[in-house]
Amino acid sequence: MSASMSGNTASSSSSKKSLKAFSDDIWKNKTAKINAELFTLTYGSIVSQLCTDYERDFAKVNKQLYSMGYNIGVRLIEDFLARTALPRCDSLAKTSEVISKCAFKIFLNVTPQIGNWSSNKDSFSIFLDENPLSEFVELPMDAARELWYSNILCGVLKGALEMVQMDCDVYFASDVLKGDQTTELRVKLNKILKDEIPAGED
Amino acid sequence: MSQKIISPSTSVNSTAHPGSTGYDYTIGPQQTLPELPVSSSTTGGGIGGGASTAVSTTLPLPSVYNESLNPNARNQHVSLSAYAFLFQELVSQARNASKSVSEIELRLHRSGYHIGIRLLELLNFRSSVSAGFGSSSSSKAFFSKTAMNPSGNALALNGSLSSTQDEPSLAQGISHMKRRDLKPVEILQFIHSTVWSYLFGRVSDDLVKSSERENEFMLIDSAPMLTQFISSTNVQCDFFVCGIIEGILDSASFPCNVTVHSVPEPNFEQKVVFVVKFEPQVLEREALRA
Amino acid sequence: MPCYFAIIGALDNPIYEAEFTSPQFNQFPPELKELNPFILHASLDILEDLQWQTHPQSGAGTETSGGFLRSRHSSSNSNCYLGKIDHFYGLAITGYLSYGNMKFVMVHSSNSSNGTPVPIDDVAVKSFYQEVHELYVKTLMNPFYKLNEPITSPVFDKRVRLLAKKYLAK
Repeated sequence: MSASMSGNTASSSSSKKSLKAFSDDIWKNKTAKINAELFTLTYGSIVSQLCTDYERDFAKVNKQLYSMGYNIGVRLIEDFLARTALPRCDSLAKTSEVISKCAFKIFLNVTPQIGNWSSNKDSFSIFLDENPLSEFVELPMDAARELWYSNILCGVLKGALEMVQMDCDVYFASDVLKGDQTTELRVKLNKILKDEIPAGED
Repeated sequence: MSQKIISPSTSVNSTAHPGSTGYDYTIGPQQTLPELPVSSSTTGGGIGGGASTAVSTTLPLPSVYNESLNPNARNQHVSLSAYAFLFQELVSQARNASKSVSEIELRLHRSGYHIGIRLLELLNFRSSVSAGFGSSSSSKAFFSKTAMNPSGNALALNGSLSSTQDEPSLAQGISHMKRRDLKPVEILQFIHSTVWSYLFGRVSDDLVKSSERENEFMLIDSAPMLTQFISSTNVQCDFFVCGIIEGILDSASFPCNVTVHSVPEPNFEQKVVFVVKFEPQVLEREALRA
Repeated sequence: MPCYFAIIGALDNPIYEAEFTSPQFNQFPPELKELNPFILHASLDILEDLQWQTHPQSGAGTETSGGFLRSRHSSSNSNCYLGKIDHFYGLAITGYLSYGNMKFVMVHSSNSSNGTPVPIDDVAVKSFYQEVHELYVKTLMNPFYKLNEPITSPVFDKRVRLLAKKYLAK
């Protein structure tokens, strides 16, 4: 399997299919699962508790969610590499594909779309058609402007990418919860970090 | 502005819903059935200025009422490891915000309680729905039927609403509501079977009544799912599950106190017992009913 | 028939209220309108009594007073919909309990002013309550909603009124 993974983006049409099949197989046969609604409800209780703790200072809530996500991301990447044994991505395009088709799939069972590439190919967007974090959520009026409800995802991506030597900015550009057309996560690569520590397992 | 000092927890920018401003307990019941005033003169009425500028150019905020309670309406699972990561953060968030172990446990308990009160309504309501109702392909066909059913103008009255009613309500698939549980044993069995299966994919390992105390029951879990990844020794993270249990019992009007105790056994090192201690009034009510 | 509907929380506080009236429906007589909340609250004691009875549902059309002694001929084994629980002059009061013991209560008025009791269409009224129950469950699923807080969403309000039109406008 991993042999077909190493092809560059030019051959992505064939690797795309196999990456999907590869991820579906991991999800179906090699992943312990839990009720998605418990996940949704637990996250909901975290966010609503933070809003109370920070006295509805939503900028602080966003920041806290981000940092919780970061803590998750730096640990999650090891789990991810151990389960997939994928080789290092040789391009940001490849990275984006692995994030959407593989990482989102085997953790959250969704496959978001990738798009909105910048002209110099250093940033892209992840469009979440389905978001298991935000089912049954209706933002209160005072939160609708500032709160990025699913901001924990930004932190997760930031932390995980940093552990594979990619220094990125990750942020929400829009969210259907706020009345936007799409839920769009923006990822911008700043630089590849020096390879001081070996990435993940090996 | 002054009447908005108490910020409503669930409300939507009124620009999105001309013709209705929702229930306001400071005013009381509002009259009439929806007669649609076509003018959007209520735009932004009375709501603090800031919010309306930010959302004015976008779609109406989505509403929970447009989502389906049907469990088949969306993905049913996420990976256990995703949940484990989230749960670990819930625990460390509680730890960072607390000064003592008991405060950490209290916060975990509170998070669980938030979930328990929701599960009581959700799971009972769902089990009232006849099996197979609204599943997959039939739901689309059902939509066209319901869309035509209400006497024409009910929907014509309100264009914006008709477009959002794309799922039949689950209530239409109910012939008999599941009974409310009236006895402590009944509601505990609901937790032991329905709730445990929903949360952890299996019933709990046992439900027993205390032989010493009349108001005590014990739910036993030999391999608690959520805390298997938590290595902490001093904090009992299953207080989260205590909160779920207590939230269910409390809102079903069985006020009680739920605690958890580790009882490691050779083959089940993480085995726990949840002890449910009902308040005296629950037993008094039982005695009256008997 | 004009109706006054309320959801009463665990602290006996209304979390939602609505009057279903329209030109076709008639209005509440002015002298009764103001009394509705009091009439409704007066029946809460009966409802709390029925709450813990094994077979609380009153037989449809039974017209004895008192309300809570009629428990024999319930058409189903259900104990969420309680049927007609009380009456007050020409008004009938029906009740429904959610699993979290939110009290759904409605005062039904008749169009005639001669004091004859309002007939209750149990099937329609029960369907109305069950649909509103579903809307309530959705309200509760929102993590930002706190138990026993007023439901201020305009969408909820609109949905409830459409349901009233569908099930109660007769």
